[in-house]
Amino acid sequence: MKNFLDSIDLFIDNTGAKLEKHKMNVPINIVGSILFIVIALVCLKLVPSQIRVNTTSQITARTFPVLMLQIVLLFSSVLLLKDIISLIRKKEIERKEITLLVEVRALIILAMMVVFLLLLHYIGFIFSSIVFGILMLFYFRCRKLSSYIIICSAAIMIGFLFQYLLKVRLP
Amino acid sequence: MDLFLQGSALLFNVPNFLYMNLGLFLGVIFGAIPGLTVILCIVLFLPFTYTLGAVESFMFLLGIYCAGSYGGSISAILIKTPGTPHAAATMLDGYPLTKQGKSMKALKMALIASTFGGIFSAIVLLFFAPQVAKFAQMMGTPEYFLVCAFGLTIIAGVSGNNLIKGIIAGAFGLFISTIGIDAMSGGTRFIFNNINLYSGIALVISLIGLFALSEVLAKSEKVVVDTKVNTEDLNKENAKFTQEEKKSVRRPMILSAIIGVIIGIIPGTGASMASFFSYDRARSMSKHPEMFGKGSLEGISACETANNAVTGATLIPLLTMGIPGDGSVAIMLGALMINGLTPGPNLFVEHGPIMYAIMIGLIFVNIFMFLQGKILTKWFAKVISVPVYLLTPIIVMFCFAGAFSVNSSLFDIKVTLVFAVIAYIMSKFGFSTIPVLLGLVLGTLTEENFRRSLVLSDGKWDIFVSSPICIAFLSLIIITLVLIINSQVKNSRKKGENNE
Repeated sequence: MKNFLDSIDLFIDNTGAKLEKHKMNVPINIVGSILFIVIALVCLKLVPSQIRVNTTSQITARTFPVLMLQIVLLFSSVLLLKDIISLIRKKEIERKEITLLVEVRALIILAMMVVFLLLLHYIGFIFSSIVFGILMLFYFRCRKLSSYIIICSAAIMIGFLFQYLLKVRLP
Repeated sequence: MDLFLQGSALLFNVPNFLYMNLGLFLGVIFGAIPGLTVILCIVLFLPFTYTLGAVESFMFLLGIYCAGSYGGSISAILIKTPGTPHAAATMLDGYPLTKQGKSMKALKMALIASTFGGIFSAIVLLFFAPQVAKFAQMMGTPEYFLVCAFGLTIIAGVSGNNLIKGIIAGAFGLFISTIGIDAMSGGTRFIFNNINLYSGIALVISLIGLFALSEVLAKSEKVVVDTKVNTEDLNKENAKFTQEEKKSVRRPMILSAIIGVIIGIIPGTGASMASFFSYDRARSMSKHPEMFGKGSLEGISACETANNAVTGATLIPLLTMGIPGDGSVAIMLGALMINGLTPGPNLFVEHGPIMYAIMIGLIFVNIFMFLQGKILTKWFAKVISVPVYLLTPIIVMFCFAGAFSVNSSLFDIKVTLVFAVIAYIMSKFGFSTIPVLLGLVLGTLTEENFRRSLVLSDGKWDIFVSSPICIAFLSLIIITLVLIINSQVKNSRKKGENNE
């Protein structure tokens, strides 16, 4: 069993080392502003279908959300233009190094949370919490049996706390 | 006086003190463990307040908020890792004392100073808040809209390192707050025919995603380091203060309490600024400035007094005008709203006894923080050693159970996950999530006052410059923006010079 776990660790280490080499220097203001511009434009396009208005009044249910989206659009454009001008003038712009390994790790954690959510439908809160807890301990490469016992006990305690003390009917 | 007595009567109930102590206990733990934050603690336990009354909820949350401030100093002193950002200044002198074998003395000083700062600010709150509330009652809808805009501007400006990004995040939060049924027209907005979105996105659900689950995703970036604290040394140490030590800390404590209160009243400034500013003042006034950074009790007393003196002061703009001074307080504003208390100028008129109960309660929060600290410090010191790999899955379990408990719906957990991803992406691109939080908290109030003002003026925008209070707040917004832009330009110039 120990050999099997060690071989898994070795495989993960090798894959991690390969992924760690893949790095990107992302111009965060440019990418971030484009993201918000896209969100604002899509939402503005959806406004007529998502906010129906039957009045001729100037001030309607659309006024405030549209104003907010326009602010997002305006300031994102300013942010984008600022960095584009800096690039043209060959000045430094704000960049951030994004490592593929970190993003893959984040995706794995997110995937575990999604699995937790899906399991809630079928096996209920306590059992899916136990499965999730064990997966997370595996992710953190924890090999201590006591930690697994603590996590399982915590899942049961949280379940009981919500169900019997706070009277929440958990799935 | 009547309100004071009614408030006291509301406060002096066993459950209030039980929840207060529970909050304090949790607050110290979350403050002490590096990687866990006070905001995270408040968000995780916010669903628990659903079944509680307004005073009980607030005592619980205030317990977390105040004790978190003190808890941060424990890890700063013992392992040179501040549990909270504002304990960074405490670390400068706390850790050298630990190296000299005087950690218990440093912890004791931090506790005494935190309690003093907290009680001082609670008394200031008790005397000043009703006066500010009287002024706030003169405000109408346009004035109140500008107050909200002022709160949003200042937080957007100071919570990140870029004002434009702060404004984008704030406006994004305000937009999200409009999802669901529009209270004024009864129509739906951005619900995509999904019945679960009819009542909008509950604040707790978005907060769990933005501040708790996103932190779990961020664990992919951080190296998990186990910390061990030798608590046996704490038992052996003689932590009694000498007369000279007692005398030396009096002046910095009083001065830092005043500094903390002044900084705390200004929204968006925060405890970090107060503790570093006080530390600097204490050093310049000290008879032994050379000891600062090498284990000065004066240094610890100044930082800890100041960062806890902020706690009561931030409640002044919150309770009187509905302006939250920082992220934690913004969540507490949400807790007020959950209990049907609409923040704003009328809070003291409509719920005077509750407000007084909260303000008097803050004094007791600090007294019990002292008692818990005195009895449990050695135990709290052990808590720092709890490994992150054990805490992370437990946090997620709490988040899922908490999100589900709001409407007994799995859909809410999905929404929480979406918010976690949004927060993660935003942090990658350097956007702070605090302005989003403020937008979500203040969204309904801001929109309501904005639309009512424009309806009153037949769509004319000059209503926002129609009164002296409006003009005063507009001027404040402009001055704030100019100051923020100025400081950011200076910072970027400095960076440029350093790079060259």
